[in-house]
Amino acid sequence: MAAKRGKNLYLYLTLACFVGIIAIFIVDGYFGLYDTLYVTAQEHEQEIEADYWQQAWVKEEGYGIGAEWGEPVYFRYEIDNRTFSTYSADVEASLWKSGEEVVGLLDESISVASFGEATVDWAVRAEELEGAGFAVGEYSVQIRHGEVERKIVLSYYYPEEVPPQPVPRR
Amino acid sequence: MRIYVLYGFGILLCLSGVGYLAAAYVKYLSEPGKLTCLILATAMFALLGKYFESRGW
Repeated sequence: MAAKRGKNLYLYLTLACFVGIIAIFIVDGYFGLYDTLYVTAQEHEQEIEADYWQQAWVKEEGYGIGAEWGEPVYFRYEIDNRTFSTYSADVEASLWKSGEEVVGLLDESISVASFGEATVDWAVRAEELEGAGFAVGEYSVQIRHGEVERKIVLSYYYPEEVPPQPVPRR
Repeated sequence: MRIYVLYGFGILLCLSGVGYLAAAYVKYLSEPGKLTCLILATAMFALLGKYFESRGW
């Protein structure tokens, strides 16, 4: 019986290593610095999770959002620090058009405690852009902090003019 | 004999599937995580070899 257990010891150790590899994938996936962006346009809130930015093509393409010209677009950016040290950085958000910065939207220093969260928010208002001489079109919102860089493509369009419906006669 | 060919084919499919998943997901691991996985994978194959050796293979 003892000899059989001794023979199986290697098998059990093999299984332990396999379980260890699976555990590393789970634990490693949990730890780290995660950011979630919430964008509210046209009364709809869109959540862009940290996993989205892991895809290779996203860095160039960014995340596309459509908004009506004249309506404000609200951004809420959450940073989740799942590490054992405090994360300190300057969070910068800016609006760009044709490779040139249009306006700085946010410049704030944050300090996120270990296993803590921090939230910053800002808004893009079309009236301010219109006042600066900009018109309907595509803009990009760039978010930077530390080594992290995110890009949102904001496509403005004119609101549809819907003719009033005729009132039925009684 | 035919059944062993099927076994071999199944094992190859399993290994290629695990290999593909490992290649797809390992890029999301941190550097210490990759190193630990490598050490554990090496130990796993070594221990599996010892197990088969102890069984007289």
